[in-house]
Amino acid sequence: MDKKELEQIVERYNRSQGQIIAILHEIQDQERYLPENDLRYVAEKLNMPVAQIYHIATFYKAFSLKPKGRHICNVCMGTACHVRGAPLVLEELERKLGIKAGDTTPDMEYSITTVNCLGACALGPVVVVGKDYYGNMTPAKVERMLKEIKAKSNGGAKTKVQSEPDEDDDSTGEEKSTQEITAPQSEVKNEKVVEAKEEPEPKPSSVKKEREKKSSKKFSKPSSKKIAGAKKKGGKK
Amino acid sequence: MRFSSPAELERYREKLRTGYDPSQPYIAICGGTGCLALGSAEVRQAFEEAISKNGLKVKVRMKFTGCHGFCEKGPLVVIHPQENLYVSVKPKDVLEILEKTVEQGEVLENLLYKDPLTKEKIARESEVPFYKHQKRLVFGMNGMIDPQSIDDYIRIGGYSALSKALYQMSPEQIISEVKKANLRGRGGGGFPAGVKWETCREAHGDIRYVIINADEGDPGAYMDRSLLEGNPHSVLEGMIIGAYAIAYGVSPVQGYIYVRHEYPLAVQYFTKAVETARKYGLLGKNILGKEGFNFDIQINQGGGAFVCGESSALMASLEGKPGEPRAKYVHTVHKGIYNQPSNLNNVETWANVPLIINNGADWYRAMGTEGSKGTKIFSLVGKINNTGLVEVPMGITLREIVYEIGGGIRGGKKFKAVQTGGPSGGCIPESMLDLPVDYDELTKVGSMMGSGGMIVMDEDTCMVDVARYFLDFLKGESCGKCTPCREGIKQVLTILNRICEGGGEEKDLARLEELGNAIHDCALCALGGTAANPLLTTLKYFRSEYETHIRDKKCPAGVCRALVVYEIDAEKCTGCMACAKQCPQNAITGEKKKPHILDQSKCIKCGICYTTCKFDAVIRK
Repeated sequence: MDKKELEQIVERYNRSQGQIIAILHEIQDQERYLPENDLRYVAEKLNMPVAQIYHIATFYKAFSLKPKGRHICNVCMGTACHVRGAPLVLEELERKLGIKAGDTTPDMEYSITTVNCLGACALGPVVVVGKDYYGNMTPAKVERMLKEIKAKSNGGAKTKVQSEPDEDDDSTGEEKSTQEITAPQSEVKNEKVVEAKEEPEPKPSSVKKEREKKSSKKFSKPSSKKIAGAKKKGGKK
Repeated sequence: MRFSSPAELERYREKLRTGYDPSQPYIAICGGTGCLALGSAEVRQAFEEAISKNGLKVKVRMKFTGCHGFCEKGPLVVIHPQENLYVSVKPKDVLEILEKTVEQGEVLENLLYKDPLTKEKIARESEVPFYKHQKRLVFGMNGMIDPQSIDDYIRIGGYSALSKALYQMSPEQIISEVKKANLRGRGGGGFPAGVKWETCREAHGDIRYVIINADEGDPGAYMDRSLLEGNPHSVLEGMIIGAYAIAYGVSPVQGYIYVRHEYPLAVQYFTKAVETARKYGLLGKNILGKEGFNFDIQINQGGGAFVCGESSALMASLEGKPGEPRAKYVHTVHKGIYNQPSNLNNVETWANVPLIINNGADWYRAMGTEGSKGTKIFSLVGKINNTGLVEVPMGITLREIVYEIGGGIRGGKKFKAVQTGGPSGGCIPESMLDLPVDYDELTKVGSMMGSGGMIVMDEDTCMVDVARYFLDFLKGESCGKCTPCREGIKQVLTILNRICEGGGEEKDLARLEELGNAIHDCALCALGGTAANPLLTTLKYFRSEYETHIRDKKCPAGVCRALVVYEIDAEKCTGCMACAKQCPQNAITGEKKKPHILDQSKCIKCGICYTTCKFDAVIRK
């Protein structure tokens, strides 16, 4: 990281040793890991031994000393997700990407991380990629999820640029980014097919169908909404 | 605007109330993390667009509120004043809601909650069984206020407890009221908050620290997050009252909140609450005009370490050190942060304080059991129909929670156990479902209240695997400082892994018990001391499952992979190729419309074919 930026971060926390965790969080948020040079610099500025910072960086699970990929797939391993089959989802993801949890693909595109609980237990098993929640996951859904991530990052060069500045926005970032993102046409179609084919319950009344048609024109569907479709599917099982 | 007296606060509240017409339609959209993940931000956007584009015949208020609790059915939308609860709302439903319900007061049948048992559709939120059996005191206002608006909180009576505490009560009176109410720590330990406050007040020190523990690390528990996201000011108000009771007239006082890094929305809302409270003179110097009462709060985020929920570890982390606990011969109320008296309470404990001050200890004591008073919020998750957050009076039975509020087990399966207390708790079997929920009763059966995670397990859950899961979790989270925890957990896990892989021996059960008891007796902190609970309770209540694993080399629930075989039933197989396409090993072969064949030598038992097959033709043995 740029020395100037680092300096700003350290100053913002008054060079306080008590704020070391917050400082490391800021570095990691930008760099997606903690580069050695940055840690040395922070150590010097805070007047702390590098070894102590290393102790902290390795003690807390949130920090990584290895660079992370562009898309971090965070698999929830909370108890609720576990009893609903999270280990199988994680394994399938590991198989599909050819890496183990904690690692990054050689092309630096994907990383797999695990988290103890995201508190989104109603959606379990859940995988979070960036701001998108993929709920009610099954091993069979992993491939589709990866395709979606890819489609989003390819088709949405625009998406990325626009959604990023929202990260630190004070009001809900989610809502802003979805306002600006219009899902690629193909995805909308795709979702319709899924809904039509796999609607498990008795067919909705014709009124509802019509409403669906009408409203789909009005409201652009951001791709993150796939969960809703995915959820329906999971519920059937 | 800074309030410099209670009268000013009251005048402001009056002004807010006169400008508020309760009969005006009000749309509450749930903006908790669960609903957001299910798309409630898009629903809100659709509402905003539709209203600005088409206009409405009536005036409405719309709020993006905190968590309503019924996460299973999100996104939730409630239309007041008629209190219609609409579940799983999609942006496409918005126009109809506005046209029919808001403008004409008509109820939309297709969006109502349908009781899976009676098939009846229920229009009013309070009559939905999930809500009907709850007692929502701490959590109740979540659906009525915008968590980012301090005005909303003041309008419904917020900060009146603070003004009462500061001007009508002495610190000692507050402490005795909290003691009398017998408010016990909601983080799980159950230590009486009033006693803790009193000890902290009487301790020697130059400054006192007051801390909110929002490092909610128990997997499957998220009530603290939802409180911070739904009603942050109630937590803040409780804490300001606590700071006054603990330090006023004795020493300066500083506040901290230690909140999980994984909860960005909670951090954002609480930060906003602190900032606005400062502006209104509810934090800072001479709070509410009270001469000499200065208090402010700093927000710190954790680093993803479970052990930091333990008090001494949390305080070490606040000092910028690795979060390692220490032996507490000297308690943190005497020597905590920077060796000064420090009072740590959980989010939910703090949120209970304004209720007690406003309504009095006698009112509070009227709820609950002999040893546990008031209500408790649980996160009811796992294999349950109605996943969500429930607030119930202490003393309610587990059966009521699971069946009446939770709506029973998913997919009509058979109940097996409910796990309370997170990795420090235990698994409670069906025979004990009539157990009243109470700190002491839960401890008696080998589990604990914990922070309030309640994970329901059904016949498809393997209890040996559950024990292994928790021990694996704890192995990763043990800080490594003391030997019983660091080494003991590792050895237990080795044995459990062996059992799950089919290599279990008869002697293993005795070994596990011995190790479990040793960890329990010798570990340094509460995390280690309770680490064996998941193991010991499963051994006690589900011993036969362990025995089946060891003797018959079978996993009755079909979870432990080494003990499971997948086969294809040629009679049921329709030859749809679905499983063959999904199999990562290409172990399934066959032609269309002909029964497929599974090659056991290639099979890695991932279970994908089992979940993919729609005809139950894949059998798990």
